[in-house]
Amino acid sequence: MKKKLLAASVAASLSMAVLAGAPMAHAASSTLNLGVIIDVTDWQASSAQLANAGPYYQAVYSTLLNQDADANVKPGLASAYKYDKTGTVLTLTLRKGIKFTDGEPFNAASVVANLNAFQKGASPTANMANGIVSVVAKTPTTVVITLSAIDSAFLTNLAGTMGFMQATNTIGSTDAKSNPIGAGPYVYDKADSVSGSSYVFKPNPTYYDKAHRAYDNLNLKVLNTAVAAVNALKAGQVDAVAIADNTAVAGLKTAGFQVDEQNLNWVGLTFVDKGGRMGTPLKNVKVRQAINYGFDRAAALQIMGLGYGKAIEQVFAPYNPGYDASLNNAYPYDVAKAKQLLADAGYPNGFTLNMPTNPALGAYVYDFMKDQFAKMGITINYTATTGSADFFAQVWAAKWPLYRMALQRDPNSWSLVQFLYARDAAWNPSGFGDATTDALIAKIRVTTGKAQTALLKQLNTYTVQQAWFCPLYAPPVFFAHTNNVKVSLHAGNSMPFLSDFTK
Amino acid sequence: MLRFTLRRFGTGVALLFTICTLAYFLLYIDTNSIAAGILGASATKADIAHFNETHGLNLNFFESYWNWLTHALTGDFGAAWTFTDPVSTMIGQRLSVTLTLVVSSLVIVTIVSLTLGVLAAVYGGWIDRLVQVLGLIGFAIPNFLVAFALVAEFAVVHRWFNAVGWTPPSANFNDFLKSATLPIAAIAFTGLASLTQQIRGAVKDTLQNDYVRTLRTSGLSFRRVILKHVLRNSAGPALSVLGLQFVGMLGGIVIIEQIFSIPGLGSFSVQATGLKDIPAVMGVVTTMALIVITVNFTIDLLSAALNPKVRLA
Repeated sequence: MKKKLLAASVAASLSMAVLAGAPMAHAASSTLNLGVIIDVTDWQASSAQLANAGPYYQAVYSTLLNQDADANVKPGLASAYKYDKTGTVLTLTLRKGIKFTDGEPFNAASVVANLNAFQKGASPTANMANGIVSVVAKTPTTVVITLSAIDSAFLTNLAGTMGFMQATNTIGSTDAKSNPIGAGPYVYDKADSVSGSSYVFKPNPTYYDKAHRAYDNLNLKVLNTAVAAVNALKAGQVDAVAIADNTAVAGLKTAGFQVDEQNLNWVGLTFVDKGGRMGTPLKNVKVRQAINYGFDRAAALQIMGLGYGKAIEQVFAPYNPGYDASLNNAYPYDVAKAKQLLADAGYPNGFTLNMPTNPALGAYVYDFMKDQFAKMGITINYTATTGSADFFAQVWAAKWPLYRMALQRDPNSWSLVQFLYARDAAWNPSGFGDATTDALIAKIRVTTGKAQTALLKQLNTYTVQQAWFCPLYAPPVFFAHTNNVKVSLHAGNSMPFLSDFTK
Repeated sequence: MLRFTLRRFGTGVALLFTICTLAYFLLYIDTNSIAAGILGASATKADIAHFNETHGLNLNFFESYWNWLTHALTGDFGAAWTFTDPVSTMIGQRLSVTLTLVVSSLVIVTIVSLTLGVLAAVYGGWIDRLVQVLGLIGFAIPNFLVAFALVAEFAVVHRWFNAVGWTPPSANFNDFLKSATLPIAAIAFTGLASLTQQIRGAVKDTLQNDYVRTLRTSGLSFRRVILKHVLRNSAGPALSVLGLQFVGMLGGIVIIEQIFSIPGLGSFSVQATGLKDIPAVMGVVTTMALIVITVNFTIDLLSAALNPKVRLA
């Protein structure tokens, strides 16, 4: 009897181990298994995002214009595009015979409906459309877009989130949030997908640009955490994925994966109270310069950035036309000079500043900054926010005289200016500017080419000298993939575009 | 028994109401940053005002809570602010995943713990010592470490199972096994320790009773005595532990779902909380609270049915 009981128990214990399956089959060569580190929350084109969410939209929607990996604008659904002499009236000539995957023809009316929806939509980049005065369908294949002023980023935006074209009859429908219909390279297969886990796409048989669709099929796998992304790649479940955990890079390289790197963002301090509305010493340029001299950027890179990236002293990236290599040593680390500048500004004994913290970051980040400020004689009082959303909201409300942020460096210089430098820039929360920056920005807006590059360099130099920011380092963004995958990193975007994958 | 049942039911309803009210209050303390956080850096003040108006964030707490409560009572948790589907639909999809994981783990824990616990209690010796050591290991190692180890060995090295993702059993059972085995094993691992120890102790105590000796001397087989009498009398405490295990697994599954990128209720709650999506968070809180209260209620009823003295407590 005891033997029977023992046998039964062994069998029961083994029941945990009988679930083994066959070794995983590798993806067929015509299928790209791409890891995405966020889930799609609203699939309508008017809610579109790029960066890590880009593949969801690029899979199903085509854009009016395309961009190559270097962010150069190319024809897309619009085969031709031309500005008038004023630079404010853009005429798009659309391809003929294009259909959405539900059979609806794509024409000028589709463009009008989509751009109008984008202007009112929930996309975080909806402000791209702020300058649109009107969108008119002149003929079924001709669209005329009138802008309130020259916008040198407009074509790039039509090759980005603003250019996604969704089937007109689905715009605003509840179903479109989770079941998109476009004219993109793929058709979403809702039946074979598992919401929140894997999204399956079949080839769009009527796609207009099949030559540039590197894979017949696409699977997007949602990987919520950095650990999951690394494990999925190592386990062969995805062919490529963005790597958020820098410490995993060395291991992936050793394991034979290719890891590509871009320095897209910058990390540092933004001085909000340059205008002195909050009554802090940051109004004085010598104080801002002192802080720039007083921060040890090499140590910041090692401690705040864990050694990944490059120390920087200007916001503009080498891929931005306004980048000026001569500014790379504008503020060499010199605490004595920092203290002298503070004394010259009337603060020989330092002062106190209040600053918000984001709980998403480790305490070591804020401890390091506090220590750096203390060496200059500046006391920092931190106030904790409840999370990233709260932190952003308080920053945008210009509640604090300075804050630490990681921000993107858009390859389109005008976009970067609109993002960071203009009085109405999203990340210029106090709306600060002076006569010099106002004049430069006004000129940058209406110029192109070499003339614009020269003005951008002037803006960059002036704002570095005026210490608008205290840039510390440029952290890398990693994209890892198997050797079978051929892909180019996309300038200014943390994820390659689907069109950056090649056969 | 009826009075006991009604009393427990009333307590459950009151607890559910309290949890929902408190949760809503905590979410509603600071609504200023919600719109800005969801709409992003490019949102204007007008955009934020429009969002607040269309999403009821301009109402006072009582108005807003009353609106939510009256809809929630009909099973309508409203539209999620940051997800593609309505909250009820999202919870339906995600709950089935989480329950599949938790219930499967619980079944495995029950079978294995029952087997090991009875063997350790009945046979003693090296089996008992082995079970005790395994129990210690189970208590000492958190399930997320177990998950990492399982992924490293069985997904990355051998590629027998999936490291991430989820396939429902209805879609493809083989793929379901590949996606569910490691998370279920990780969840079950820590549950085994406490339940095995509980069963071992309860069976050992029961075996000391005079009636067991009497039953054996009256000619009943050892197997019959164990399965019909000893186990029945040891079931009460084990049942309570099982209830606690279920609740503990529901809490612990948040980490497991994140590690395996599984679209369950745990990962949904992390996403919704991060985005301050009040309808989604409230949907999760209500569902989780309802499950926990229902499980406890059921355990109370079962315990009362097994042991009438419980009804007096």
